[in-house]
Amino acid sequence: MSQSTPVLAAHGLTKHFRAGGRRIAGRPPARAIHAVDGVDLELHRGQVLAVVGESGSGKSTVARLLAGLIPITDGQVLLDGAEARVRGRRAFRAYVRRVQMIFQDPFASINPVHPVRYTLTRALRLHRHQSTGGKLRGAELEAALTELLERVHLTPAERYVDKYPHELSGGQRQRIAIARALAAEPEVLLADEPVSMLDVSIRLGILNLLADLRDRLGIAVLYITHDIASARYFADRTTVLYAGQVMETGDSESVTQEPLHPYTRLLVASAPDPDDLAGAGAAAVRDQGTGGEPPSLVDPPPGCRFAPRCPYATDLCRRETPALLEVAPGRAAACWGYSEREDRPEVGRVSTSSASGGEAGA
Amino acid sequence: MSQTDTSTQDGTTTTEAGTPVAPESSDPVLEIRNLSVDYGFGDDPTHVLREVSLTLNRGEVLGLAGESGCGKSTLAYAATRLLSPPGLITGGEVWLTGRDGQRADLLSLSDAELRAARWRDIAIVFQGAMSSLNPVFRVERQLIDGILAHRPGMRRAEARERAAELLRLVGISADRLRSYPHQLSGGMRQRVMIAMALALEPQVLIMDEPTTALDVVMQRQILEQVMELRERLGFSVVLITHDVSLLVEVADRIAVMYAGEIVETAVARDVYAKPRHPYSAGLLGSFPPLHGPRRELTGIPGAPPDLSKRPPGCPFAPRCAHAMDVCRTELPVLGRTAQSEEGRLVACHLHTSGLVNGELPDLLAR
Repeated sequence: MSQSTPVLAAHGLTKHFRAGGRRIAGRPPARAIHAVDGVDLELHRGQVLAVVGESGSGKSTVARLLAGLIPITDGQVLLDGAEARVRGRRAFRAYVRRVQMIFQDPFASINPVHPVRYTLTRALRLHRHQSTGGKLRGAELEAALTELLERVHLTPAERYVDKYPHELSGGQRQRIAIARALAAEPEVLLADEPVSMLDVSIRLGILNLLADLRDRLGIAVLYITHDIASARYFADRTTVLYAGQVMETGDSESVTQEPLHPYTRLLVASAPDPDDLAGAGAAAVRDQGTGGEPPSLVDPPPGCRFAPRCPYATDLCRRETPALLEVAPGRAAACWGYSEREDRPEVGRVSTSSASGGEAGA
Repeated sequence: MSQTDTSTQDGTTTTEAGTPVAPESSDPVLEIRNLSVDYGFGDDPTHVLREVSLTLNRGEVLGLAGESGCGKSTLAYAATRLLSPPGLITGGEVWLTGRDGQRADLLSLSDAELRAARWRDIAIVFQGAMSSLNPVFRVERQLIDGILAHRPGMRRAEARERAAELLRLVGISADRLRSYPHQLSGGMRQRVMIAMALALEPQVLIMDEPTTALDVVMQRQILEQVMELRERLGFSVVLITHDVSLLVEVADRIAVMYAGEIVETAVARDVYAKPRHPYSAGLLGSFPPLHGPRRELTGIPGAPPDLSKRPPGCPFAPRCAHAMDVCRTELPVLGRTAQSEEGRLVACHLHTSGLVNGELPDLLAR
């Protein structure tokens, strides 16, 4: 991992949503959904960090917290090493100028009654007027619009600038959403499942575009996804989230090829694999014991949140929550199996380059 | 209802001219022949399905792959006559062979016969099944209602016993009968839907994107369970999904659809190892592999065509790297591959002998 200060970092990021009960000012709610609990993340310039997790793991909440769309319960967000306080409109706008978000559904995130020109012009005027002094207009505005559309490979720009969203395909709409985010010239792009609503044949085009923006403009990208295979393809580093906590983090290739945490192994083994002739993945999942589901986040169990489903779990796992332990340089897993404790569970090492799930019986 | 006037002779109808049917060890349960569907009643309806033919053999898992809007769900709904207006079946036949060997054309059944045949012979697990359950009734009531509707003579207690048995079949404990849908997780609701579909022991189970809303771990568990039940109870499955890599693993045979047409059918593993249609190859190249060497992937340029403005010729031609002049003018029909492989069909001019002077592109010649 690079030693430079991360553009955007989160330490102990926590979000509890109120779940029923009366709201009493200044007091924590009686029942809360622990959506995100103590998540640490670092986004570096020119890098993509993938956050992988199943539905309900808190991955979208992480993105919304980082975007300043919902208040943080606990922990801090650091923008360029300085604590980001998003209080009040002015501060919020200054923050989102540098941290922009792309949403999952391009059919819902772009106003259908306005043409592309309006959507992009608004973003340009909102975020650029201070730097250029006065409003963007005339030839200058046209040039900026053209540049934005070209950046997202919608060329020739004149063909798209006056179109309405309904005249565009899903992929084109998502490109407009990306162009709108780029209008602010952000340092960070938070992409919440940017391709899961799109047709499969055009998903890669959008991912390749984001990779291109990372390389050319040095933007840091947070890529939220449930598809671990796309994280391997596109992200430099991958963090695996389960029930609101980080289970494992490391460079994408190692996390997907030699997963350390039992949950990551289950995830990798479950992914469809056409090359898996012997059905090893299926066998591994069967060995893990089916019938497992993520725990309730209203009263999360003590100890490791994956323990109820984990085939290696011991009393230690059910009693105490493991911290994120550094297992190898740049790789960490929140699993007691990698600690030095006497009573640690036997997780079994993953042999390199073996087929998925082959080690499940170890 | 709208359907063509086809005579309902049993068992005697053979292949009509025009549609080549793959030479297969055939014990077909469901045969779709030249099914056409339009959307819209005006002078200019959108042709969503054009003369689609497909055969499901007994005990087989047939995967239907394609992107959103390619007509795969329409095909399933049209074949069961569940298509709601403005969808309109304009032609074709759907032959269902019963357990007793009786054959019937679903499209020319009377409403009463159709009502009886649905669910008993063909059951569907709908897309977004998680929200198909009625939120204000307990699971028990929803299961029992369906059973009693088709088995009028059955006593309520018997139906309840059957409902409990069905839940156990899909791995849910019977005490969950008293739960409301919101008390179940997404995976459990999906299992309840599958249990419901299996209630009358159908011969054909159509699953329309059954696991898209679920995460991969749950997806695998549920599909494993369906495959195990298939062996035990002996039904055939049509699995509709956009995830080809999933189909390669679970399906016996795959039919790839594009713009309302089937462009390729073959044994699942062959589609993966040796795609013969440029679209199949592109689709497979759109999924980054989780295992094995990293590959540079490009996806497919362009976007699927608007079916109301379908270009003449092959619908894939505008996105195809190997398109020739003939592709833009003439519609290819499903036929043999250039390699003349058994049980494989492809609709691509590259495979039409006499049209291609050179060799097949490397990608399709493996």
